[in-house]
Amino acid sequence: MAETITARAMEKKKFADFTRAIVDNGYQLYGPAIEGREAIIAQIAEQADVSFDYRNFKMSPKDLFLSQSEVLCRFCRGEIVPDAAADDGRRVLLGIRPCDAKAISLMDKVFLQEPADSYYKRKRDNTVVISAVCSSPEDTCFCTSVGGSPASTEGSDILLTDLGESYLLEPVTPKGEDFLNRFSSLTRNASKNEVREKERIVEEAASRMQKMDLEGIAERFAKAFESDLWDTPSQRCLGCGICTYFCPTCHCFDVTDETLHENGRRLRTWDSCMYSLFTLHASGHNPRPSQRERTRQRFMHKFSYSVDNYGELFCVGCGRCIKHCPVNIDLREVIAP
Amino acid sequence: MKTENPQSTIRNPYIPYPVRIDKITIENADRDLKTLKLVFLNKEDEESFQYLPGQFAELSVFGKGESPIGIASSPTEQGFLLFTVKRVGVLTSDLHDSEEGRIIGVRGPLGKPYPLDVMEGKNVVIVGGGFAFTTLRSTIRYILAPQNRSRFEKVTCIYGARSPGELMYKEELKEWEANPDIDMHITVDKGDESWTGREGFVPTVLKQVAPSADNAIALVCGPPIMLKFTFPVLLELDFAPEMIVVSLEMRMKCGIGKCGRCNIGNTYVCKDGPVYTYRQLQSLPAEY
Ligand SMILES: Cc1cc2nc3c(=O)[nH]c(=O)nc-3n(C[C@H](O)[C@H](O)[C@H](O)COP(=O)(O)OP(=O)(O)OC[C@H]3O[C@@H](n4cnc5c(N)ncnc54)[C@H](O)[C@@H]3O)c2cc1C
Ligand code: SF4
Ligand code: SF4
Ligand code: FES
Repeated sequence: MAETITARAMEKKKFADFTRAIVDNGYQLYGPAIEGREAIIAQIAEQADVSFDYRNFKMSPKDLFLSQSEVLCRFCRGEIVPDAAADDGRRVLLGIRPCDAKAISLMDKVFLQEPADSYYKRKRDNTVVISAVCSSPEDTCFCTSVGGSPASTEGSDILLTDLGESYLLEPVTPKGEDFLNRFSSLTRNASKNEVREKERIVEEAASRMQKMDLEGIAERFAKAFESDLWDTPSQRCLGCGICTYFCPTCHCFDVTDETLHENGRRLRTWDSCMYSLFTLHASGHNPRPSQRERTRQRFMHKFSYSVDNYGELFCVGCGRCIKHCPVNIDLREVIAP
Repeated sequence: MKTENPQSTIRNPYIPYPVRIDKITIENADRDLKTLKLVFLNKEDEESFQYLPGQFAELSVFGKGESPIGIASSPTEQGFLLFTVKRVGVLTSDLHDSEEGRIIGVRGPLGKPYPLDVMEGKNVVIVGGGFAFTTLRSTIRYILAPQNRSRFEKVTCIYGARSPGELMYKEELKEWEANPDIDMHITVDKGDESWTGREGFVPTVLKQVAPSADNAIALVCGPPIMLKFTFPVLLELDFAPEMIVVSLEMRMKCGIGKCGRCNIGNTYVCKDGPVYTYRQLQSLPAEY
């Protein structure tokens, strides 16, 4: 936000009141929790001591919009039965990093495009996203190379910055503005100093990341389709799909039916283009027969096809695929100019 | 806060319309091709299912799954939909084992139709092989409908199957052969004792018939091997790459460009296709 006037601030000691008020207002609150040595996003109790003192969540929050497994409908003896269980709860998503918020804005392009995905849309409409500025990127992070920043606002309704003594709260969307207005008794106008301090934190964080020049990568990849660029990563790749499960923008899914006696349900579950069955035809023909084509597909989708189709790279530089690949395939080595 | 109920405003694109299998026709001697005639249970559903030749739909059986199948009927045939299904796996076998009267689901129409606007005022050359002839049947019915016939010039059709028993829509083929509005050339790879018609592969017959490329557009559907040998013949006949139209298949799930399964390069066959020109095909990676 350029307009400093709209920025609000909240004393840290008031934050517990804030989370309580959120829950009292009927929202489910999702925020940072510690599991072992990792931060995860989980539904948190109103009194929880919230701190934004983590680098990023182990898993991205995509599961909260595109569930890893989700019932599309239920049926009985081959006929659809109305599903009363659909959860319409309003939610607040607190503390995701700007890269993951940006990933939500990319998912929006796919799932809200006509015909809109009603399951995704319902969850998206019901959620207020409060992302937290990233002050300590990991050495696998590279958001600034893919058009992001430790403080990018895409996909967020409100951007929060931890300033030590207080939090800066900047509304990004009308939804975020409405939301902050409801809790105006807990906030005050932010001072110029606070806004300046945020800028310093962001610059500091950005300076710690190496920036690659990815200008024109879509065309570069399109030209490299038949090249040996894919050899190294695909020869090592196990096809485990971990990279795609951790990725906040990967959204491929499968649809399957499950039945027990007369009752059943149609489910959608995350799937991965890294699996050989993904494109296998009933005839036995497979358009992407080896890991080479599948690895290439993953890269082409994120860095070339998505640019053609949506004008955006489908990578936000969160680094999860690099961190979690069991054979240490580093996506940066493939995309580097 | 916006108090919007998204469920009430948008239709859920994953929920099929209920339809009744009104009639099942066995199409071939191998008995692995059946045409299902489907009738909508609800009038409103039928009205919202507005389609054109070349589009497909997901046939759905709760408990078994869904499959994308080309629509074989033409919108000029009112009151029902036709799908010709080959028995291959779980869902298609289940459909084959159906009895008339069964309720199943249909989700669609999906994909883009043949370029009817481009075809208008042109000679239309239809080249089909095997059971991929389904959406071409839709197209022929559409063109031959009295209200549409004058929109198109000469219609030539070359259709081939492995053997006489494998030719689909036999009654209609007879009618079309007798119809001066369409020039039919039916062929089989190998005939039997009773076969008096043409023998030979589709590309060879196409070469013999040699339809003029002048003000003409060709629609081609068939197995990959047939496509491979048909394109060069059409090019030799001087068809421009953008006047050769094909329909592609990829494995699909959602059918609406979300699940990420069916892309060839930057195009999703389910929503950008399944109909492409040969010109488009040339610029796509050969991942199909
Ligand atoms: C646009 C389009 C039009 C088609 N038109 C026809 C037609 O008119 N008649 C016909 O008989 N067949 C047609 N097919 C092929 C048909 O969809 C597959 O044969 C069918 O999905 C196999 O399903 P199954 O459950 O019997 O096989 P299984 O092998 O048991 O299938 C398992 C899963 O794989 C998927 N799948 C497997 N093969 C294919 C495939 N080739 N294409 C798409 N999904 C696949 C299905 O979604 C299914 O859920 C068409 C395919 C496409 C993409
Ligand atoms: S995580 Fe690594 S090994 Fe597994 S599919 Fe991805 S690139 Fe291949
Ligand atoms: S491709 Fe890797 S770095 Fe990019 S968004 Fe996905 S998981 Fe993060
Ligand atoms: S079938 Fe899901 S994207 Fe095409």
